[in-house]
Amino acid sequence: MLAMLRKDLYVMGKYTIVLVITWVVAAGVLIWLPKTDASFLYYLMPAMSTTIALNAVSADHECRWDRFAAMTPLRPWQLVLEKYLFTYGTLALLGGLSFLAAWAAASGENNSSTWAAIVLVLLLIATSLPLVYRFGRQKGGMILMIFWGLVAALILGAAHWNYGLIETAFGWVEEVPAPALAAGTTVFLLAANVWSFYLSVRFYARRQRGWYD
Amino acid sequence: MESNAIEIRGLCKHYKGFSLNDLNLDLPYGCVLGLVGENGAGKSTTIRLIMDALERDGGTISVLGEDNRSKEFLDLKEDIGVVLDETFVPEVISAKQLGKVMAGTYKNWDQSAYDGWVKRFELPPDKKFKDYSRGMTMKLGIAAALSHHPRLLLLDEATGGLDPMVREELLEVFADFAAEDGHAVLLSSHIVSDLERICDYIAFLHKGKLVLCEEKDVLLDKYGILKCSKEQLSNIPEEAIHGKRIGTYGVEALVEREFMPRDAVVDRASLEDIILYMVKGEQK
Repeated sequence: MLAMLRKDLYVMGKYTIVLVITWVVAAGVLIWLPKTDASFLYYLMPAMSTTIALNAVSADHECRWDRFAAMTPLRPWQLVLEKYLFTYGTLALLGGLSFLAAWAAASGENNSSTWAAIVLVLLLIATSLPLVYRFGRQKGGMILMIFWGLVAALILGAAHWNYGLIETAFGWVEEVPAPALAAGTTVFLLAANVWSFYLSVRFYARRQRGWYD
Repeated sequence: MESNAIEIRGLCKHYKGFSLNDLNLDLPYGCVLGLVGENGAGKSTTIRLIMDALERDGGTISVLGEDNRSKEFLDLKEDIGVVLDETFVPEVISAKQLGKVMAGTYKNWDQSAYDGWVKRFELPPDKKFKDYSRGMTMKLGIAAALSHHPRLLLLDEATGGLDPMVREELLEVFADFAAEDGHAVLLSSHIVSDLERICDYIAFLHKGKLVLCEEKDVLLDKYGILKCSKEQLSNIPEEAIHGKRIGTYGVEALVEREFMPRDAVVDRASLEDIILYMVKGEQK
């Protein structure tokens, strides 16, 4: 499994480095400029880890690595777990950079923005990887966009037409003590990602054996 | 130890527009089996099915004495080297990096053997895979397949698209590998001359059906080319003729020597002749 991580680092390493450098430069400039809100960067960076993960899956598919992997002693769960670990690793790196940038900008409130982004990205990972393993990069990506687009449209639509509905649905969050909220979110994200991993292994094994050809 | 490295019985696989039907095949240890057939005949499908990398619709496959659907077979993949007809290496990876990836993939990985093969094949260790030629690509695949000390080699079109010098070199490598105790090679190709040179057994797949599977020498002894007139051919028993080519000055036919009259002059048929006539024979 570590071998596969190494492969993904070889494949995606250069892309990630370029991305990080670009982001660091952009963040640096925005932080340096007076009266500029750079908070969107703290959302953007963690979100990029999903793109990197999906590109890694896509790269495997393009060079037919999956077909070769089926000939090796590696189990489907090992190959899928590697992709999850790679994604979490990338998220940790990019999330860490976001925290660092927020700290450098000395804007304390942006830390919560980064945390919110990380939670969203973990949900994005949990939904995107099974879809990509089942439908492939393009179709899976499209379904993902439609799904999240609908979720966003529902929330924003509800907020626009009847804000009370949003308050009823999410208002309780503000009343929950922070440690309990953090613990609850962690458990929820853990469950979502475990379920996502289970589905991904199932879809990957089937794809490998030509079920979706 | 069992006598066959691969035993396939009644193997079936159906796709839309293609069916592999009732395939029966044995590959004895110490032998090279050539799987020949036109593009789309089912060669790659057979190799994927042997590795249980594809869901089959029927039949059984035993590889190195193990049912390929058993849990033990996953570990047994350590002993099987596979070279696919298509590239599998990400294009930004070099031979050196591939060695490191493979070292974590196979428990039996022998880095010094890999380095030896890379050197022998004159592959630049730091050059990115995207800059490799077709010959270099295949050599890298073969180097990787040989470096975890497999007992069985499955080669899917491993010599396709290569120049004669490289093909010669690789065929030598495969022949040497098969000669070692307890080893076997399955080589799929549509370059029949390659198979004729190194194979002990020939299996001919045509449109998903196994047309023949015989020892190569038996096959070459069994069939011959008869050159005669149309009238002379009409005197030959029907069961002796497996295909014919009618020209302006006479007829050339692939015949089974056993059924031929003693005085008939039958020339040696190459493997390519046998296969071509058999395919065309269906259309006569």
